[in-house]
Amino acid sequence: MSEKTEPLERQRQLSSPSPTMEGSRAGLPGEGPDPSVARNQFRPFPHGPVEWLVAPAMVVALYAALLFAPREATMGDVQRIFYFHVPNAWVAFLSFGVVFVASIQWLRTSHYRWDAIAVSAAEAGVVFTTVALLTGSIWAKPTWGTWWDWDPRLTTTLILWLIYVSYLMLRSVVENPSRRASLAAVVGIVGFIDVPIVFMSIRWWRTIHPVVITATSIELDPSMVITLVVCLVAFTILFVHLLRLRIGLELQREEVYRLRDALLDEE
Amino acid sequence: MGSLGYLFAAFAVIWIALLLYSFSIGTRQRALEREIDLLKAMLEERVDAHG
Repeated sequence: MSEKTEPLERQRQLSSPSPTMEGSRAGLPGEGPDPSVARNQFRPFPHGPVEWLVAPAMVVALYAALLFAPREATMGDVQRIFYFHVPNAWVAFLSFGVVFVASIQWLRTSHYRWDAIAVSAAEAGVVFTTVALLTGSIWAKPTWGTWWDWDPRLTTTLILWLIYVSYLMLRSVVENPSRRASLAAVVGIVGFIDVPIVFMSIRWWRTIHPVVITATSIELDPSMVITLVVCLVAFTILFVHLLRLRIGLELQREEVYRLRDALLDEE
Repeated sequence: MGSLGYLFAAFAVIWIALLLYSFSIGTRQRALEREIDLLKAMLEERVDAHG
């Protein structure tokens, strides 16, 4: 996830006459490069309603999870972890769904913006999956008596985390931007296969993981359902905010490449 | 550790992770902004030098 200054050679690669990247930078596949078009398409996002909603949504979610929701009879207060654990897992799935769509779009169109969206969503997805794994583990200790169990849900989630960590590592070792984006897109598409497996794991195999939501019912008190929905909405807003910030970072990087190219042209 | 202790630990993990990630994005953003400013200044200097 670390940023490093790109060597001059890399700037050259980015501006090399590869049809893929030419199209991607111009935003028009197969047509000649037009940096002005690329710049216009890659403006960082202005502050929108999402930015204003993040803090209030998180405050409401905290209130709902800690004060509004009733204390669960069997597990006690530790059950409240569920209200933030599930939204983290949901947002992780959503992130990897975005990676999947953006990766297909990159391979289809070679527009650089799709690669920027894919890497941004993958990074956010890894963060949210990490939090889901850690909060699940903290919940498991008092409930199951152990921090970790090789249960199908936990194992498939760990595999999901490893897939997208590998996705980010792969990106950090491939120098050529077009090749990097294409290789990462393949991992982003194939890796997404694990998302439905994680979701269905507690239905397909014997598991100790709770199955709260089934096809026919939700085994929760109505006030708990309201709390869960509030937290799901709050975390979705937070995800959109973080994704916009992270994509903005990629757009700034693109601006750096453009300026370096311009400097080299001036020499 | 009691039930509230685990709850506190879980919420601490969530907020620390989210704050660190936001901080990481902010740090990278500021570094890129500095680089953009520097490159723009260098480019203007070159353009002026070439008349």
